[in-house]
Amino acid sequence: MTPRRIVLAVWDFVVGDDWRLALAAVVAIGLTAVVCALGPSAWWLAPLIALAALRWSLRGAVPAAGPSPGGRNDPTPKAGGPAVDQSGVQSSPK
Amino acid sequence: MSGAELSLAISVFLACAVEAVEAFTIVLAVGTARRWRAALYGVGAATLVLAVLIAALGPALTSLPLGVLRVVVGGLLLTFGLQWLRKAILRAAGAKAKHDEEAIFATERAEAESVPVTAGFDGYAFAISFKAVLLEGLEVAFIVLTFGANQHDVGLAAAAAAAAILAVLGAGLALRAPLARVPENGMKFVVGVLLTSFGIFWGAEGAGANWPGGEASLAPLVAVVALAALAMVAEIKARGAAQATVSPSPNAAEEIA
Repeated sequence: MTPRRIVLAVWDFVVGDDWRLALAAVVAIGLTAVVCALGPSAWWLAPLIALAALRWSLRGAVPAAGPSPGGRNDPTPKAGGPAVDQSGVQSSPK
Repeated sequence: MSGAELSLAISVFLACAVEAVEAFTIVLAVGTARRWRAALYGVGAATLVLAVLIAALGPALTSLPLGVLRVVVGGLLLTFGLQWLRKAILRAAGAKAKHDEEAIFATERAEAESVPVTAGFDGYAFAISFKAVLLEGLEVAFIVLTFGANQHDVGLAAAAAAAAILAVLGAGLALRAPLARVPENGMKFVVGVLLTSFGIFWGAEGAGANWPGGEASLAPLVAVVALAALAMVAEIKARGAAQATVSPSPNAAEEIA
């Protein structure tokens, strides 16, 4: 296994399908730290950013199309192999 | 056992059970299609690698200062949890294929049967079993380490993981079939909610936030994340229904995507 493949595997394991969610996690905790350092206890900030990012990511994954007919009839992912959601984003079957 | 310890045990148990079901399906397919001995050697070797990983990284993580640990672990759990939850929401809304253990078993078995069995040690069965257990187990190891280190109780997390593996193994050996009736997709939804909630809680706490009521705010936080996730499922379904009204084409999703 080459170092590049190891880096890619680690990236895929930690970051997953949508890198924007990983960025949102960093921003959520980072902004909380900044606001808390300025004084107020911003416990509400992290959940707000995380859930907003999740909704944003989902809107991108299902672009005004919604569920496929039947759901289960989507192309079934091969075990351990990639599946494709309706945005065309390749994803692991987790 | 405190509320936080109970939450830790439940989260690790559910996450581990889901991964164990997936690994079991593949090992069962390879074992029944080829040779059990090599498949079980693969399981043993992967389990050993995972145990060494947890034993090596556990003490290193727990030796970090609590604030740093919570920021790092909270951030990782939040990243991981959001990915789990995203997929679970898409599956619950019918926008992504659900896990079907019977279909996966059939595919894996057909593939295993298509490769000729040679005399001597069955390298194919070993490699497929090893890979399945290692890949599914890595997620479990990650969850055991992060949850356990944060609560300074890697032992409890490891025990919950072991209990889940034994439960799945027991059910699997009794049935001798893929565990298709385990509500895997629902369990993944719950795990996604728990990982996201714990990630938010610990990440914010490590960043300096004081949660109202301390650890008691964890339960309401889990409830808020769960409700928000269910609302997102409903939103995607509603958008799908609205789209179906506008365009009756069964391939509307693919056309638009």
